[in-house]
Order: sequence, then structure tokens, then C-alpha cells
Amino acid sequence: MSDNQDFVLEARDVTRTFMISAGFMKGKKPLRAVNGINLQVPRGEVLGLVGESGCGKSTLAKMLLGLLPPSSGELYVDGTPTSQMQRLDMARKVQPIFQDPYSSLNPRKTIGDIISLPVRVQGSAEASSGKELRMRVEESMELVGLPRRLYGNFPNQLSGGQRQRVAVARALINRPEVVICDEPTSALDVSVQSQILNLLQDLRAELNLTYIVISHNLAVVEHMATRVAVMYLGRLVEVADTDQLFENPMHPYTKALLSSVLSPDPNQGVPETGLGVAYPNPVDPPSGCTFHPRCVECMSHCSVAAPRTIPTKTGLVECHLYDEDQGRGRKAS
Amino acid sequence: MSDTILEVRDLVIDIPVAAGMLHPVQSISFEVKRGETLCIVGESGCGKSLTSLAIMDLLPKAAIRTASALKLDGEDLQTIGERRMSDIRGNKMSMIFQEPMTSLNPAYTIGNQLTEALRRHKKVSAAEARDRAIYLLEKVGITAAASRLTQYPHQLSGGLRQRVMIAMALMCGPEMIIADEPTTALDVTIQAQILHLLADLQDEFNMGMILITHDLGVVSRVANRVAVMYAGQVVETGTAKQVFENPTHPYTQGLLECIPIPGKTKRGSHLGSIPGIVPSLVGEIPGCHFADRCVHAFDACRSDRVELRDGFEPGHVYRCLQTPDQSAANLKKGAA
Amino acid sequence: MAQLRRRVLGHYGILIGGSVLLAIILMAIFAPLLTPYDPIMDQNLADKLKPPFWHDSPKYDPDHVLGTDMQGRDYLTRLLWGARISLLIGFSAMLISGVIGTALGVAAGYFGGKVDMVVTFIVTTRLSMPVVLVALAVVSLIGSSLWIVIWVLGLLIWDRFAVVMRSTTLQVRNLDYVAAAQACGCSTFHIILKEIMPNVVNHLIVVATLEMAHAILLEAALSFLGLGVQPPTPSWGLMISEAKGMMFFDAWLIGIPGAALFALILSINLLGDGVRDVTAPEGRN
Repeated sequence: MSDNQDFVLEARDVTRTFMISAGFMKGKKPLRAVNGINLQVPRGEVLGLVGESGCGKSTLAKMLLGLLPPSSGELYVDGTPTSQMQRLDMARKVQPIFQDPYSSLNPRKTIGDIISLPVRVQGSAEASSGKELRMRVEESMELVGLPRRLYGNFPNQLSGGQRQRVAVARALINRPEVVICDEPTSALDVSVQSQILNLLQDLRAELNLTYIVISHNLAVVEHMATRVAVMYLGRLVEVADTDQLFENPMHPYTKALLSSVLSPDPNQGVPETGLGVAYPNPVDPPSGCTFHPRCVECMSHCSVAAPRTIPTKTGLVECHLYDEDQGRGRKAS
Repeated sequence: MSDTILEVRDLVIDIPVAAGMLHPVQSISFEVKRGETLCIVGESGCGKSLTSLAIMDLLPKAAIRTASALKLDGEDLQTIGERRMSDIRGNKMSMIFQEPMTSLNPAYTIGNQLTEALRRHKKVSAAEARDRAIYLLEKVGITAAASRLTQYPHQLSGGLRQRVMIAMALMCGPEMIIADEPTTALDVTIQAQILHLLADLQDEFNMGMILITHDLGVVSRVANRVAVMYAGQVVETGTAKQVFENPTHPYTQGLLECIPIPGKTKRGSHLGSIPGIVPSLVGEIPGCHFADRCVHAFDACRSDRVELRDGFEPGHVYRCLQTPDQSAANLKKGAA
Repeated sequence: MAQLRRRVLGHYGILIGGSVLLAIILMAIFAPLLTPYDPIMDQNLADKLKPPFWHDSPKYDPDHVLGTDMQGRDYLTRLLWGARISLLIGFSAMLISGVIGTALGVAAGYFGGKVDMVVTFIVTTRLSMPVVLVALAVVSLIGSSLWIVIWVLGLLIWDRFAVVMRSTTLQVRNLDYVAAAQACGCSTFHIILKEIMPNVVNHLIVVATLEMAHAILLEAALSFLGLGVQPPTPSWGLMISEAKGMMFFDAWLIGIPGAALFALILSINLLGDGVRDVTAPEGRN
């Protein structure tokens, strides 16, 4: 990747630490939910972010939305550091779509009120004229395939799929550049999921959007994403183009994740992931490579030294298996 | 001992609501053999969870349950009365709920909750119950089982809690187990482990199992038989191979086209979708319940009563007016 | 909306409580029109202790339906004017305590952390003070008047507002629509006012009715002890207090304001319970 590429989002060594109470009278311990992440997202890309619950992907998403400042490091949106951006500027460029359309829409507001909120908050001239505002809301509703007659309805009168369309309409009404989709379909029924995924695909092409798709459903990520980042205990352990990652996963954790995908195939049983031990406590992460207790390819020095970031053809991997300096003699590749 | 552990014939659930009579489950029949897994798959509101609650006799008070047969190991569950039923529940037949966060009582230790049912049903000593709890916790893959017994639910992670729930369901050595979305709240990596575990335990104890889920991937991997439910009815049933390789009902066909399958679906392409919404189950629906959303529907579909009919192979039945050949042709057309 | 109306009209608690309360409010407002007497000035010792209409006594005077008190003042007039005092004190004290408690509770629930710690400390401090004793002490130190009673009560009974608002705000605050509003760039003030308040206001109404009843009862208790509203102002608590000497001879003197107090408190509580019932999530489809 060349430096002069157009990165709409960039993270440089971003860390977020929470102070967690370690127990009664034990004081507080730092939890590094996101631990030194470097990431560049070119315009128009769909970046899939995968990992188990507790890996820090939601914390990263909150930081990308500007809801949480990084403890250290810097995020850039369109080349501008977020620490120097106004709240409203940030809101214009980055918008979220949440998992549960039942909790992401205020039950006491009408659909029109919900979708128009981002415009009204920006305080542009349109906001003062009700007619203009209504037109924009209806345009946005049309974009996501919602009938105009729902304008004055309340969320509880809508189906789950329609609610998620409202959330999409709200996210897109100001034409943001980046949309952070946090599990955009996992709360929906199967037949509705595909409609929302299709909609997101169409809108991306139409509006030249950049998506960050956070999901634990690897089939969805494989379908949507152009690049995939795998997160484990606050670190990106592998980043690669989707083809590369799904056909030729490098990190043992990526391999385990991929093997756990259950595609509908009655001729296969449930695969063995090999991830025997439970997810470690993030307050007290394992030494060395944090994945070593669960790794099937663990080597003696894995528990001692943290792996370096190794550039690959289309991204990076953090694993001793691919580091010629430390893994010498153990695995020739 | 008969081979069939659970028999359900013409199970009907009615719930009176303000707008009339709700018919969430309309004449469902199936049976589960020992060592067999039946997967009930369907979207929210199709009646799959109510079906399981009806078998356990845990329906909400207002609901009315009728069936021409509802037998566990030959014993008629409709006539035995509440006393005998609570003896069966958690003993001969147990249930695993979806939410591991809310299904355990936060005020009691894991050990307390595990041994309680066993001591009530089987009159064993505290030490014996404890031994069995440790044995099962180890079986479900929990390390340091003995020390876990003194812990409280909040001290365990979601995956561990779900394992505890499974161990609890197995404490009395049930012959029939009903798992309602046992892995939906869990990470994919843990999902695989839990499913493995359930299969292993089922083999070991020769249990019958009903697995209720909306995840077609899970169904295809673990089911012996599959029942696809839509709007209160079973619309297709057969072995996993029959249903997944030769889906015959338009709804099953539609569902399978809705999900992206790595390696098969072209990335970024449009996924199939099922237009429309589930019909209201208040009052009677003439004709096929799926007719309004079905691309192949014709006039008779909206008026005629649609019964289950045989597919290509014996044991594979579906509820549609089209012949198996027509359905197969539709599927091919859709794929092309 | 139609559904809400149907549920309200189908709820006996709301219907009964609401109509009784409405009747009391109307009678209090139109008191000067309903009786020809003045509650304080129209004394006539010659007419004292006339019995109410249900007493089959020759002393009964049709001009005084509920009889007269020891100074010969019309009891119905005093009762109606007393309702004004009770409602005024109940409503004002509820308003003051509601503003304080809601502000503290919402702040604690929304901001959490240190703010929550401070608020929780203040609430705990307040809960450690017995309301009646503190009210008695304050009133006996700085004297008593209607407005002093209102302020003392208002500054003392906000604890339930704070506790309930804190926990409900905490629940709502973590819902995704609040995060969505934040991601739109909404100000904290806007989020609290437009996203959170509409979703906690039903709890607020329930607490408000309870606290209004609470304040009315406390005023009656203080007045009964002689430290609340001062005579000759008509107040139900004061009327009960004045009648206690006659309890065994003219029981209706204590019975009438007692029954009025009972009806008012019951109607407010019925209404509050009803509001909770019809707005509770489990009642929704």
C-alpha cells in the first residue's frame, strides 16, 4: 500500500484502557480493551472486523464513532485527527448502525423524528423549514425502501426489518463517508437479514460509502467485506484481503475461527476448533502471545515474547510462526 | 423399552387475546427416537418455542393445549397431572434455555443449583449429588470442576454458564432433552464446542433430543431429522440430507437462498430474499400460510386447505400444492 | 393512542382515583362559590357544635350541612378551604422535591462515576434523617407558616425521586438509541431532555403521585402536632387536632376531616398505581 492512498479512516497506535475493579478491596486494574491498533481503511472499502466477544471490537467501534476518546494514539477521519474535530463534523462523516433495531430507536419518537435527528442537530437552514426537512426524510426513507406513510408511525408499529431500515435511513440522511455496522443483522430473522445485507450492498455502490462491518458471523463478513481484520484480546492478529484470509488463513486463531463457521451442509458434522481453553480474562492476559494457551501450534517461546507485526502480501499477521527471527528452525516456510 | 421416546400428535396451542383467538401452533406432529436429534427450525413467531414449552407443560396460563397424543416413553403427558409432571421435568425430560445469563439463579452457587434437582428427584445423598455434579461439569468441559461448585453464576463467563446449564439438564440422566437455541447467545467458537458436547453426551446416554434454532448451519450439521416450521405449521420435514439437498417447500428453498454460504455465494452479490411478512395468526387463514410471500403461489393456494404430502423419498414430506417435480424445477429456475 | 385510552378507561383504579381526586380539586377551586361562609371570619359562638345532617338531632341546622366547629364556623366551608391547603402543600412540595430529586437522579444515572458516587452519598445522608423529626426541628426553630411547611417538606422528600430516576435513567442510558443520538452529535442536554426524559416520565408520574400523598400526610401530621399550618388557617390536620379533645363527645368533628384525608390519599395512590399499570412495559403489545 502506498502512502498517498486515500484513507478515509486511519488508526495509529490506538489504545483504550479501562480501570476495572479487581475485586472487593483490591483496588483497580487496567484493562486494555484496545491495545495499540494500527489500521488504514481506504475509501470505498468494506472492512470486516471479527473476533469473539470481549476482544475489543465494540470499544474500537465506539472510538471510531467518536463516542469514546482513545487513551493514547490517534484516529484520523479523512486525514484529520479526531481529537481536533468538532463533535458535529465527526457526526457528519461517521455514522453507526446498531445490532438491535428494538433498542436503537427511541420508542417515544415517530419515524420522521428519528430519521431527521441528524439533520436537525447539524442545525442547517433546512432544519428550520419543516417542509424541506420532511422532503429530505422521505427521500432517505425511499432510499432504504421504507414506504412514506410510515413517517408518523412509532417504532413499535414496525417489523424488525423495517426498524433496521429506519436505523439505516437515519445513518445515511447526512450522507456520511463511513458507516460502522455493529452486527447489523444478527438480531433479525434469516429472511430479513438478507434484505438488509442486500440493501447495504446497494447503498454502498450508490453512495460510495465505506463500511466497517463488525460481526461474529463469518459468513456475513465473507459476503460483505473486501478486507477482514481479526481481533484477539485488543490486538489485530491478522489483516488481509477477504479472498486471502478465507482461502489461506495464516494466524492459528483465524484458522480456528474459520473452521467454526457452520455452513449448511448435511454431509459434515460439527468441526473441532481446537480452541479448548475458554477465552482468557482480559484484565489478566496471558504472557507473551496472548493466544498461546489456546493455540494448537504453540511453541516454547510463544509464552515468553509477544509476537511482532509481520507484513504479508495483503495485510499483516502477528504470530511467531511467521517471524523468521524468533521462529527459526521450528517451522520452515 | 420402546424405540420412540417422545411422540407428539396433532399438537394445537390456542391463546385467547384481545383481538380474538391466536393460533400459534396448529396441529403439529412428530416423534423423536432414542439417540436421535430432531431440529425444529423457523423464524421468530413460527411457534417453535411454544411447541417445546407445551411438551414441558410450561406454557403461559392463558394458553390452551390440545393433542391427540403427547407421550413420553409411552406415558401420556396430558393426563398425568401436575405432580407427576414436575417429577418428570428436569428428571426424565429436561430443557436447556436460550439465555444462560438469566436461566441461572444469581443468589445460589453453581453447586447448589446443580445438585438441587437431583436431590429432589432421586433422593441421593449430598456427597453423591456433588460427585455427579463434578463428573458432569468435567464432561461438559469445565476445568477445576470442584472449585466451580462454590462459585456464583456472575463469576462465570457466558460460555461457561451455558455449559453449567447443560450439565444441570443432564444431572438426573434424562432420556429426552429439549434445547431451545442453546448456542444463539454464544460466540461461534464456543458454539462449535457446545454442539460437540451435546452430540457426545447424546451418544453416551442414548437420549432423544429436540434442538430448536433459527440457524440453518447448525441444523444441517447436527440434525438427524429436520422440521421446518412456518406460521404455526410444519411445512417440511425429513432427514437433514433430504431437506438440505432437496428442499421442496418454497419457504425452505427461500430460507436457504437467504444466507450467504462461503465458497458458494458470490461475494457482494444479491442474496435471495422472501418478500412480505409473516401472517397474523389471530383467526383462521384459508389456504396456505405462506401463499402471500410465495413467488409460485396460484389461486388455489389462497383458498384450498394444504396438507402435508410425500416428497421424492419416503419420510420426506412437505405442505404445498405443487408436486415434487414442480418444486425441483422451481429450485433450479431460482438458482439459474 | 386509542389503545392507551382504552386501557385507561378499562382500569378501575384510574377511574375511581381520578374521579375522586378531580372532585376534590374542583371543590377546592370553587370553594368560595360552593359555600356562603368565610372559613375564618364567620364565627358565631352561639351556633357552635351543630351536628351534621345524618345526626337526627333537633340542633341540626340546614344552613350548616356538616355542622359547625367549636367556634361555630361552618364545617363544610372549613373542609373545602382545607382541601385547598392540602392540595397546595402536596402539589408544591411534590414539585420542589421532584425537581431536586429528578435532577440529582438523572445526573447520577446519566453521568455515573464520580457524579453517581456524590449523589448516592447525598441520598444516603438524606435517608439517614427522619423526615418528621427534622421537619419538627426546623419548624420549631424558624417558626411556621404555609410556605415554610412547603419548603421544608419539598427539601426533605426528594429521595424517592432521586433513587427511582437514577435507576431508570441508568437503564435507558445504555440503550442504543442514546448512543445513536450521541453519534449524531447531539448535546448532552438534548439527549437527557429528548431521548431519556420521555422514556422515564411514566416512572416520574408514579413517584410524583406517591410523594404528593406523602407530603399531604406529613403536613397533616405536622399540623396535628401544632407545628404545621397555624390556626386559624383551615387545614385538615389542624381540624383533626382541634377536634381531638371532643373525640368521645362529637366524633364527627374528627371523623369528617379524617375521612376527607383518607379519600384524598387513597385517590392519589389509586391514580398513581393505575398510571404505573397502564404504562408498564408488560402491559404493552
